[in-house]
Amino acid sequence: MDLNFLINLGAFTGSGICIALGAVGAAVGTGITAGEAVNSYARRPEKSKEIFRTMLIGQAVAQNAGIFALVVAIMLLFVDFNNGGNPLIVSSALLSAGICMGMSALLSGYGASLPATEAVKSISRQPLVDSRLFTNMLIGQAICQTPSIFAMVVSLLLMFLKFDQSGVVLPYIGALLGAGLACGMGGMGSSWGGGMAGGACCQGIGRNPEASGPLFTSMLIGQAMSQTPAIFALLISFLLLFKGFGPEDNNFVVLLAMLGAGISMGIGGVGPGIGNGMAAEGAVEGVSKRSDETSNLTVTMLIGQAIAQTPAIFAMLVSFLLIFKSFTPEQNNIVMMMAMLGAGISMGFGGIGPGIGNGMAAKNAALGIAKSPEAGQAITRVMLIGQAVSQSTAIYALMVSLVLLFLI
Amino acid sequence: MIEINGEQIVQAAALLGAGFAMGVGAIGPGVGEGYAAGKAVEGISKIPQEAELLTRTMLVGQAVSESTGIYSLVVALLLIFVV
Repeated sequence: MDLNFLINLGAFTGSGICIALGAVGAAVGTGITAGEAVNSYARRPEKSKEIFRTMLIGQAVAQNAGIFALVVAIMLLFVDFNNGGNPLIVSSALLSAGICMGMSALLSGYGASLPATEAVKSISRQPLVDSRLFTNMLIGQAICQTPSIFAMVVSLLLMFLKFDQSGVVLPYIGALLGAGLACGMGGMGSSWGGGMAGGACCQGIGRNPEASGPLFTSMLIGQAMSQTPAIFALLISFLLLFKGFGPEDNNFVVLLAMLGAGISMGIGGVGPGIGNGMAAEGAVEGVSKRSDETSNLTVTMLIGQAIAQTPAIFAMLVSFLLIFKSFTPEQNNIVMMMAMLGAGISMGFGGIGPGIGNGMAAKNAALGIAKSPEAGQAITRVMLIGQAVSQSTAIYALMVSLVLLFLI
Repeated sequence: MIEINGEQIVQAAALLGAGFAMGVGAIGPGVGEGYAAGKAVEGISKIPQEAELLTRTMLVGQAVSESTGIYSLVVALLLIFVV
């Protein structure tokens, strides 16, 4: 039977998923920005020109991720991908490219519109610093965009690289789907979190323009930290893309291990990305209230973020173990397959809650220090105790994953 | 192709179920305990002299919230080792 129809099946399904998911975030986010711009007009009609300019450029930048998704969707529809490769592998690569770009654009578009929303609000509050707000908005947005650029790169690689040189099919299907999931989902939290920090910075400048220097610095540090899960995800995605497979790997166990690796890092990165963003949001808001406590707040933010990062590191560890695990021929059975998939799912989903929870604790700790700096030591101590307890479920998930990996 | 019998299907489903149980089950306690920790530090920033009481209450609350995480762990381990 001619299997070439599979290539179109994968490409068209991927295209639909890509633009369906990718359009949502940017549309919602830029709509909210427009709403706030109208509110700001009503408050300060004399600044309508500046508000309009900031809104329009902010929206254009937030729309970026949606445009990436559109480009990938159109390429999937109209480029001829029949490069002589195995149709099953090409098909799963194209589906994965669509999922990767769509997932990433979903929250990248929304995240990048948060700084724009806060910037147009703040112009009506502090009309004198409109150019400062404009610059800050653009830099904050640029950093939220990073995960969607990663996703674009991975999508292009998935579309245009040729993967099966040796007639091996099954492991490539899992690895390519896993690569798309890891990079697409792993960046979602990072872009939202980066957007929270950028939004808080624009809001803070509107509240306290004298502190715009320290606000900008703490925003950048916070955003850089919340970008980490996206970088972990890119790393896992590249490992999955460029790992070669031999004839001994041509079985379903390796397929599901690779898919599990993608799920673990992809879903496991979402929570820590959002949590780090919350911590940064709290610290930036704190700096806008007490700019004399900037160093104290930044240290608390960094400690809180380091702990919120832990589930992402666990997820990366499980992904590594799944990618580099070798199987004996007797292990080629359905029990082992589901154990590998289960290991990925356990750590992936298990990282969401602790990541977000730790971020909440760190956010309130930073806000608390801004309110009463003299209680800083007690606040940091209690934050750490609370985060340790919240971390325990991530450790349970890691334990279940390791049991599934090594004891079955 | 690989051979599959009924017993293997049951065990495979149990292992996949263990992954889901622990993975999804960890979301709630993680978020909930973080929320409690956040509120505790907020309280300490308002009344620093009551830090001890607030910490104690936070820990009790978190322990209760942890219980569903422990249930998930128990179910996952049962699925892996007993079923």
